[in-house]
Amino acid sequence: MNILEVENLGKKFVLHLRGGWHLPVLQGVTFTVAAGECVAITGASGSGKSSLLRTLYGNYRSDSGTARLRTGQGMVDILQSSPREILALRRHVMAYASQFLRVIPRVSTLEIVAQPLMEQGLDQQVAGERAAAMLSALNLPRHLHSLPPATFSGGEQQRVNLARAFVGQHPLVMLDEPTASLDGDNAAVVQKLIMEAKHSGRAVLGVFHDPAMVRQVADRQYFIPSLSEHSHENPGLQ
Amino acid sequence: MLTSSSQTHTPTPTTAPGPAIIAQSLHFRFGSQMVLRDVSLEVFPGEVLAIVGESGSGKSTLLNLLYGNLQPCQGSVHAIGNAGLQPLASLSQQTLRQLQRSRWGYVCQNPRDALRMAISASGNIIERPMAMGLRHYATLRQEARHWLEKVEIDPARLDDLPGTFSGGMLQRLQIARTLISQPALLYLDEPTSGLDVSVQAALLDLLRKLVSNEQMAVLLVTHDLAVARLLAQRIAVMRRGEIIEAGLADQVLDDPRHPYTQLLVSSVLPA
Repeated sequence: MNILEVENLGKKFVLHLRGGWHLPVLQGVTFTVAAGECVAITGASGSGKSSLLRTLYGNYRSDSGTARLRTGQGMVDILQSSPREILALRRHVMAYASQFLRVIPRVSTLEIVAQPLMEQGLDQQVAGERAAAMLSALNLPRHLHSLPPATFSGGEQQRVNLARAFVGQHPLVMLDEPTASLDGDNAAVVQKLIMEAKHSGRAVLGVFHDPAMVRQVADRQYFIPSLSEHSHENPGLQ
Repeated sequence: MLTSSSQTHTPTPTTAPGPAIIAQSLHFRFGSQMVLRDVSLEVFPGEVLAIVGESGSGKSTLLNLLYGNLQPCQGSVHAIGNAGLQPLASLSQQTLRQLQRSRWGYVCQNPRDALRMAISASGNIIERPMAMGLRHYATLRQEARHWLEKVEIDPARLDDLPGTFSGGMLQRLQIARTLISQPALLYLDEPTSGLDVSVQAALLDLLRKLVSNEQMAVLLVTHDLAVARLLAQRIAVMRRGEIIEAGLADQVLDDPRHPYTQLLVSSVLPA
């Protein structure tokens, strides 16, 4: 059973401040991710791996193709969804951990991680307990939970991001270089979380910098196709 | 075992309530000058729509049209009243004022424009419930104390005049005064401009919590993209009286499409 079906997805940036320069980033991207499966997105640096995750999460807009996501109401095309529909998909169906945490002033680490659960309708206490358990599993000790993560190290912030992505038990979890700033022990925790997600029938789509991690967690790899030459039409390049 | 649940969540269908405000194709002119052109929007309960753009783009005029203080020369505004959505054009001045006091709330940039500086903090907070007919003084005072705590002002300041408050405290007092009547629709006009950044952070955090707890529909006018990102789910970008781009907040800010939005986003100095 497929959780995600991406077909012919295309994405380009038009840089108006550079005279309307067209910067193609993705073209003809086609793959699926099934329940219980982890797919690793591979490709050269700059090939659009992060942009693909962002487009699937609704953070970037696409120009062509479809990306159907399985929901309680059947398959829904993310690329055609309204802002309110995308927010509902993010609440219940898809989670995403970027490489960097966007810190909100004054908001505690525990609150940041509990928020996806509260948005799913859990009460504050249960959400708080689950968030604390997830943070502790990722080796963020309890005395840090009440602090805003602004002063945390890069690795600690990355773990807050990952806790947030895993805590809501979303059917699709998307991870952008989840272990890039983590040490071996913490990378092992992430590996364990991915395996648990798979065993519970959820799907994981990831960009991994570490080939060993790919071998350990990924069932398949999807190599991003390179952009064909004719797509480079740059009216702004005089 | 790291996680407590091993089963997959299935999305629960929610019976979505309708929008709290709908504006359709609004046009407005000052004399011969077209100030707003074909502006349409809607906001749902529990949702914050940020209207961003530089000064002179028509943001504040739009907010005044949506609040009923100005009438469009073309188009319509329907806003939540006592009997569902009501067309503002059909309301009498009296009904409009009554709705503004009881069902809507308006927080303006300068709290001194909204507060009564000659009466105490508690007097300011309980003015709306009193205007709506509540008279039990001990209950009202308790309510005032409760709201001061909610906006993080020391309840010992209950009987102080607003003139003794700092700028950030005045803005919090205005928020308490506005939110005490639990408006279904909240208008925020540059609520944190002109405040120190530390005060601004505290206020934004407060607004974020209140808005999500009370499930209000919020129209937020701001020129500050960081404020929009923090509070709003959706953003509409205005330029020369038109909405030139609208969408999910993070999408508009991270993948802006319109040349003007790209200019706005790229002009922000990173901290």
